[in-house]
Amino acid sequence: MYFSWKQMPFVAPSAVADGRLPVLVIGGGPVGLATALGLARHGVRSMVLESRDVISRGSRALAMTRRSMQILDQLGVGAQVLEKSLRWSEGWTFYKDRQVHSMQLPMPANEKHGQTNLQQCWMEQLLLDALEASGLSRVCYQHTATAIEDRGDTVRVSVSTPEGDYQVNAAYIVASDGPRGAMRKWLGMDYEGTSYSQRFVINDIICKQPLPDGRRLFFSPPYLPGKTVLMHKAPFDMWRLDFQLMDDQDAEIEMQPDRVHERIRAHFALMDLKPDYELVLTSVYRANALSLPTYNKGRVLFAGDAAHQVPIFGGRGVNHGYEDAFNLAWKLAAVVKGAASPALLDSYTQERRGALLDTLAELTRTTIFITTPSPGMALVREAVLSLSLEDNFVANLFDPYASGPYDCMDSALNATAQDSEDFGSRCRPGALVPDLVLPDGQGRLYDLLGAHFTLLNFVAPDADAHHAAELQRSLSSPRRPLKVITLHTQGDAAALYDARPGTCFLLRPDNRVAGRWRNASLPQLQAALLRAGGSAEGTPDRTEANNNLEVPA
Amino acid sequence: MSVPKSSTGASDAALFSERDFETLAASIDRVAPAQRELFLTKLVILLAAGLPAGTLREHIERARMNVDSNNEETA
Repeated sequence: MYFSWKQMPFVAPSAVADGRLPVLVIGGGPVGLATALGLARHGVRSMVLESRDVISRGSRALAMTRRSMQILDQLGVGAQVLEKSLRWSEGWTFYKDRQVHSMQLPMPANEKHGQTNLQQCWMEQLLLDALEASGLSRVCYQHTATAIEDRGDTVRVSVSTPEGDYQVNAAYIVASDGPRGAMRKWLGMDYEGTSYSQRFVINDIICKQPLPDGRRLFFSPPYLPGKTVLMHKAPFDMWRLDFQLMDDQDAEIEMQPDRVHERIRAHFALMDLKPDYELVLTSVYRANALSLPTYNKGRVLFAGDAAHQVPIFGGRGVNHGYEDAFNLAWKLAAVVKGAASPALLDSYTQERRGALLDTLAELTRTTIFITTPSPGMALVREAVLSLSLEDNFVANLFDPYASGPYDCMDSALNATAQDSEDFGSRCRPGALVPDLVLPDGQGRLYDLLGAHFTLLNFVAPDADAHHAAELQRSLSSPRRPLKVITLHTQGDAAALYDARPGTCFLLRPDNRVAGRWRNASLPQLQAALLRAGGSAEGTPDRTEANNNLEVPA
Repeated sequence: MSVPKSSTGASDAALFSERDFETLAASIDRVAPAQRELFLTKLVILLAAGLPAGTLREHIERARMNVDSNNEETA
């Protein structure tokens, strides 16, 4: 077996501390754990409640993007993930029994990561290990939130456990309790969007067949005419197979072992492989394109599937979740510490919901192509696919991995305009700063980014080093720590970032460009830092008070 | 009975030639009835590929309006 599930240790209610937690995270899946780890990175304590008594079963959220791997690196688990994961860069598309398209996902020379697959159970375990090692959080399994009460400056949560119930107070709640979580119902919120009627039976199998790694997509295989099958390779000799059901098939019947094996054997026959496999897990899935209208309501923040649901095609679900966690953690940490106004949390909804809607617009086209929810869609897809046997019509109709990360161009935190000065489109405000290998053995840029703002400062090779030190002293503060990274304009970095002597970029703790200048004055940089950080000048610093609250040992 | 608005017809670019008429009709006849819908869909795709943006939509709208008006006349 590729993973060993064990009963997670139980924390007795008597061990849960009194007092007001800074943050209570409800839901101990990958997004909840990543959020707690992100808060810990900023020195903020939390407690995580999880109803299950074990790590999630199955491959589930399997595919991670480059951006998710960057986030996991910065959360301190990237190396552990890479050690166990599988990386892939190719995909093949088949119609009936012939290949009609192939794709490559090239990795830019300046980047470290590509597409990375690791089963969700491993992701949860690695995040959990890092969280416990931080000493700033504890995950309480078999603790189920049953009610919440808004008490003004506190949220009181009622919790049920096998050994009795209790209540816990927190300044803020992060609801990462998944698509069936109760939190949004308690707050009277509901998803908006589309649920597709087509269902998929998902199978995890162990199979040691020597096939190249990558994603395979089968349209209208002979054993399932008019329908779609997805096939993803995972580490530890696992394959994930998703079979679309016919409209008149009963999911409960199709999940029975004899039906499952019949489909898998038919698929192996199509691929001319011996049916030498072990079935590990069967479940059913329906594509949804849904979002809450807001991701922050009062003192409750929603993240991951609790906030939105994304069709699995293109592997975006957990990737959106990790970006939610990373975007939210530094902002919530700043608010909890009194370094930022609570209004900063509105930017979390603005940015993350904007990204989600952008993804849904793209994935809707993919989902329609895969699921063909109408006779017209099915007819045109059939025509396009059969024509693709001779001409590659399908290439520009179906490529869910083509787009890159979302640029928060309209973010309220952006300190400079998109078209200010003579910068090009790269490194614009709201975009992720590109990674690269720095000269002179400094490692990668992303290795130097931390739980703080960063000023990327470009200077001529003979520039005075004191200027950078002075900038550091003038801009950094305990409330809003900042690090200055100085780069010379002779080198790859200047070309990549379109930089000249005097060019500087203010980067947020989540690696996004907050502002860019050709020659910034100190007041400009100070103002940008206040804007990007959600200024709360004049409010009491609550860092020490928040970190004195104990979490269960 | 309705009469075309102009007996001289539209511009030369919009004319459907007798040769194309015969070619299309013969091609449809050669396809089994159960396959005709798919065949015509493919034909549209091949013709539409490479057209300027919006052209297919304009032709679809024109055809749809023609079908609707024919349905009204025969109703």
